[in-house]
Amino acid sequence: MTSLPWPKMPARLVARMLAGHTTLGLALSALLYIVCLSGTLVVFHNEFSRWEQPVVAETESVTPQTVQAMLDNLLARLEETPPQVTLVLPTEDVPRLVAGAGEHDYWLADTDGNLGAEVAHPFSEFLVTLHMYLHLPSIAGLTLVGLLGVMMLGLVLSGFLAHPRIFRDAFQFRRTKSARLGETDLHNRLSVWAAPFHITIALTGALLGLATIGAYALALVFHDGDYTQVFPPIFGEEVATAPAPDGTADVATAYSTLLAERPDLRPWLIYVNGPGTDAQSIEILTQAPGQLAYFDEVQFDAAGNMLGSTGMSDGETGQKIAAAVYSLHFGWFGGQAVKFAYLFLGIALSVVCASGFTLWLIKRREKGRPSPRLERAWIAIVWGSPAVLAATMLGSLSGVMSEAVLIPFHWIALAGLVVLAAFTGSGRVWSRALRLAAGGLTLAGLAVHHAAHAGYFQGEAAWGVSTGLAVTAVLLIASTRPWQFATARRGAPAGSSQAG
Amino acid sequence: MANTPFIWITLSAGAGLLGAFLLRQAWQRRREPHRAQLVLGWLALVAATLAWLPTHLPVYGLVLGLLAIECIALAVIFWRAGWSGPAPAEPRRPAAATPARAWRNGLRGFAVTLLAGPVALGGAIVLSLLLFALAGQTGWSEANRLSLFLFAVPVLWALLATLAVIDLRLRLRTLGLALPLLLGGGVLALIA
Repeated sequence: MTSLPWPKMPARLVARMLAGHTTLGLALSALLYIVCLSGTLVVFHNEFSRWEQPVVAETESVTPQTVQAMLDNLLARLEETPPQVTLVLPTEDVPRLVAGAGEHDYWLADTDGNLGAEVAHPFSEFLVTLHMYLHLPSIAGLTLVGLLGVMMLGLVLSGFLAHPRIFRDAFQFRRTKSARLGETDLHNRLSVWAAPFHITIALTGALLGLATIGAYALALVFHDGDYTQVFPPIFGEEVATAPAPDGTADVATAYSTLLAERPDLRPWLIYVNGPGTDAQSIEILTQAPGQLAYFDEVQFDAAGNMLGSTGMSDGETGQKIAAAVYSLHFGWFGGQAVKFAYLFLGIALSVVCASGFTLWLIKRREKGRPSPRLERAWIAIVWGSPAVLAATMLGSLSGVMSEAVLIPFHWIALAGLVVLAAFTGSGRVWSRALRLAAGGLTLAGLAVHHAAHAGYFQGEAAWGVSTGLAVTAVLLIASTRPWQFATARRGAPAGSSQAG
Repeated sequence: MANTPFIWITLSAGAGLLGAFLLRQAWQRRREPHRAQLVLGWLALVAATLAWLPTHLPVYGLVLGLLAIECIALAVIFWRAGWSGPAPAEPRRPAAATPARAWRNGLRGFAVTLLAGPVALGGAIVLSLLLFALAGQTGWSEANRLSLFLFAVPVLWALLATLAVIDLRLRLRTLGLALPLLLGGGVLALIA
């Protein structure tokens, strides 16, 4: 018998690592699961936003004249001129024209640059803020999600050290032998095969979340507390220039120049800084096809003359690495195939989070110290999260809930489910009921959406999201095996609460 | 040549499947010599990843290759497992005696939380700042050392947090976390 490629580790160290792995996992399992689940959906954020507001004529190209008209119309529409305005150009993912400023004032535009309906996709935004901030105020939320990324990274590390046979058993799956062996194999197999994905997601997520507090520390020690000096080496300095010849920045010339001078980049967003002031400048954010860089930025003066680029796609190695963080975290770099891979792996990651805690519950039960309330509460988290998300989507699409209500509804409903499940019913019934609810509410949301928008669907995203949601709903309902439900209810002992 | 990416992707898929097959064979033969199969299996998986390099820019291709291999492997696992549903729960065993020192465990848990949270974060930031300063002294550009700093914070926090929760004496863990914080802070104060 030959030795394994994994080093032989002392049994005591393995046991200590296992204890550490369990402690880390239990500490933040619920939040980690919610972040993973919402992150899996956020991969399709662009498609969701197009689906949510499908009554829009989509376009794949735009002329410089249209871009200029959008800016003029936007400045005329705004009551006060803001310090910065944004023009969103059509891309492969979002073939739409949008103009606006600040956090909320954004309008869709037609191919002549005329502004139309207000941009409105509250559920998509709800999902993004859930994943990135857990709906907390910006820095607190980012830091908490960053902490979850760190914990996930620690879990991957301690998980590998705690399971020295994890590679040897890479194809072992004893799903039907016993609850513990089945959950253990599910947890370990998904963990080992998707480890590069888990490490990437955890590291990039932690970096995005902790960048702000890290930057404050850096500013304090190396820049006399001046936070604004930290990021320019990567993201470039803001450009201030002279006033435009006719008062309004010449975005048409800037756009034409970019197309001519940098055919390797695809324009995506145009920022006009200080519109109408004596120090206007134009920044065009671009996508870099065939690269991991999320964006590169090209700068222009107010007359549309190119000043240079930040070099995110072709500059220093550190810039290219930093530019790839966002793309790698959200799977926004290789088209639909990569997004579907992220969906698949994201679901696997959510299962790893859920099965880790479930394993701990099963082990407690085996040791004669069962926690039936905690088991039911955990089921409410695992299956209640998709059910509450589906209810939130239904409320948003039907107009029953305004944008301001979505966040409190989501958290109050989830907390209510956890409390109810902890004190009533059996685990098996809660598991089935919540999966049925998630599937049923998703189908109801789809029905409402189609009733409201039938005949106005534009583009493949609208049909794609509807199909994806319908398949998810059917799988959720089918997973409860409703045709066996009556039999199971008759046969199940009272209070049975198998987690899962 | 227009078909070049297709050829490389096909080669990658073939190498990936071969690697998975060889590793599976090796792990099934635990009592017989299987070192050669293990080595060949892992080499095939590495080759499957590297085969994506010529299809696009290097890093981009590598990421796509890894994603493809992960998805194939998970699909094989689920295909092998089938949809069999959960197994029955194990029978309960007699309850273990509960330790009577709950308050002491609570205090210990609080201390571990402090160590894994704020103390480990502080240590990670101090060590990352030290790395940032040292990288500057060895001629790294501002962009490169800033990128190093941004990645170092979460990686070091994860390592220190893991150290804080493993099953060692609490004093030893405290020492292990306090040392980098104090030493790193001292060195940083000298060179910053």
